[in-house]
Amino acid sequence: MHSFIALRKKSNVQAMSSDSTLTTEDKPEQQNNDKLFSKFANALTQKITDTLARLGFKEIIPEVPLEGTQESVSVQESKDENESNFMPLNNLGAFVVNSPNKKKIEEVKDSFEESDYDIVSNVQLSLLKPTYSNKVLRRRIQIPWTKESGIYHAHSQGVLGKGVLVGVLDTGCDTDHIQFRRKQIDFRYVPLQYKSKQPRDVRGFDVDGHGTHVCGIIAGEHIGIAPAAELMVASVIESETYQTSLSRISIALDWMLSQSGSIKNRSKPFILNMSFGFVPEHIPKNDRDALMTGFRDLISTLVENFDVLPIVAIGNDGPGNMRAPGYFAETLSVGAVGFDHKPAPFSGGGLSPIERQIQPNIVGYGIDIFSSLEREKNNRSLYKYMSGTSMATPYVAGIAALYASADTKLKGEKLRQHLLNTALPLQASADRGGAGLARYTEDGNEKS
Amino acid sequence: MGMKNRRITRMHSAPPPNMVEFMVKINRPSSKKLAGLNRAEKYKLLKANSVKRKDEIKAWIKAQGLDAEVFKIEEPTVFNMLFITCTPNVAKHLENSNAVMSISRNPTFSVELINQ
Repeated sequence: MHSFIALRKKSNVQAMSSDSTLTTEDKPEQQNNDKLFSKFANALTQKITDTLARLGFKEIIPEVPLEGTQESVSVQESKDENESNFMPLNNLGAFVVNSPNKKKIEEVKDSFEESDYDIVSNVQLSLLKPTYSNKVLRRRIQIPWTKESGIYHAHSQGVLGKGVLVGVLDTGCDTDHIQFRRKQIDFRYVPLQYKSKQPRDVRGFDVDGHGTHVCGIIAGEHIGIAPAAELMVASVIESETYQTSLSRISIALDWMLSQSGSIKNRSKPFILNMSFGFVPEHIPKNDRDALMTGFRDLISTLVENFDVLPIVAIGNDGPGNMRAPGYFAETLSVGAVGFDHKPAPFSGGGLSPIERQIQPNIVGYGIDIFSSLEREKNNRSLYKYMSGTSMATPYVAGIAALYASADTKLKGEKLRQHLLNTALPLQASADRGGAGLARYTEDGNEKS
Repeated sequence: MGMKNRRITRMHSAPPPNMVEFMVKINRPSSKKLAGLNRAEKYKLLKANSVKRKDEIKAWIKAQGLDAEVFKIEEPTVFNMLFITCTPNVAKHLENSNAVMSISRNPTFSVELINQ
């Protein structure tokens, strides 16, 4: 996706004054009046909007609820990756423009430049995928985990994830959401740069909602797969740019390891959930090598020295594509399936570029997964359905926590093998379904 | 509000524009040394190793007269890497230090939160 931001120059008032579609009385030089200036600005915005619409760009407008109404909050966003669209930012007099078609983008840039706009490239946004426009809900619903998942069976046996540490590296966690209010969640915020990078010991917050969704799937009080699991959450991803760094991640992991070494935690199994990934090829060559070897060192230390099981999303780029660190051999990589047990079209997989191993290792439910999101201004907890290997990963982490809780000798590599051995085989090739669907079963080697 | 109750907010300073963050790989204890230790003991040993390496690097930088070109060295972790914000000149010289295995720029990078 190609993307840019067009910012209106102050000098384009002159351009407007020469616009033949406006009458001379409306010109601000002649009528020094705020209202008329605003009229000019609106006219220019409308002119650009019309041009974009004529070129086939769809307008994206955020929808907000009216004050005092009970209407759900929703955001009108693009579902279609092949769609050209734009978002007017009226207060700034700016536009964000996106299109998969480079030629079309260049054509539009010309139109903006003719109208005296500054063009700013928007490279980082182009790395991100659009989010489905799902409704945000205010009521908790019963999650329809299938019988095959074994989750309700585990719960009926009193297996709830107690005595298991689950670390989550993500955007954070809103610990005042009703799903977490009665839980003790260890939380740290690790800044990206400049300030001291020492983790800040503060009440859990989430800069995005993604981390809260992930945590809800793992250990939400009413909706979690392993509601008694003990969460350690580190916020290490910027909300606007989704930027992070190796130092930030290593500081967060160091904090988690120090917690896991305390007397009360020393013998508890430790699972790490990472619902994010990056494409190494998007990073400049010199930085890429350092990043890849550095990230690999972190994961190796966790696995080899601390018996941690890192469970990582393989990515949403479809068959043949996958993301790091999901495809590192030391991790348990996770793809997504629907409740019908068919692989999600977006779920990644294939031969890993380093070890040439088939990915993903295992799959979890990752389509239309209901979980916690954030709170609105009146402190009411919100929920949302989300899809992605980001959601399948905490599903698998939750199942892993159930196993580790039932048998605390299951940790690290042993736990990994147990998950693979007990997975429900699916009618899908290994590069789509891995070893099968992660599930909780008391028969350790059941494969049918 | 009286003057004595007024709180002073200290601004965090940014590094000078000629300095960037580098990742320094350091030697770590062998697997043999770590075998048989529990999680806390391993954490303690690895952290002590990183602290020792940091001190060695700091002393080496000072001995070379390069300390004015170093903005900060992050607190050590259990991992075999230290993060140093300094000039590229210091980074180049650090390759000669015995405590350093390798040095490279520490890039920030964008990740994708993998939901559709």
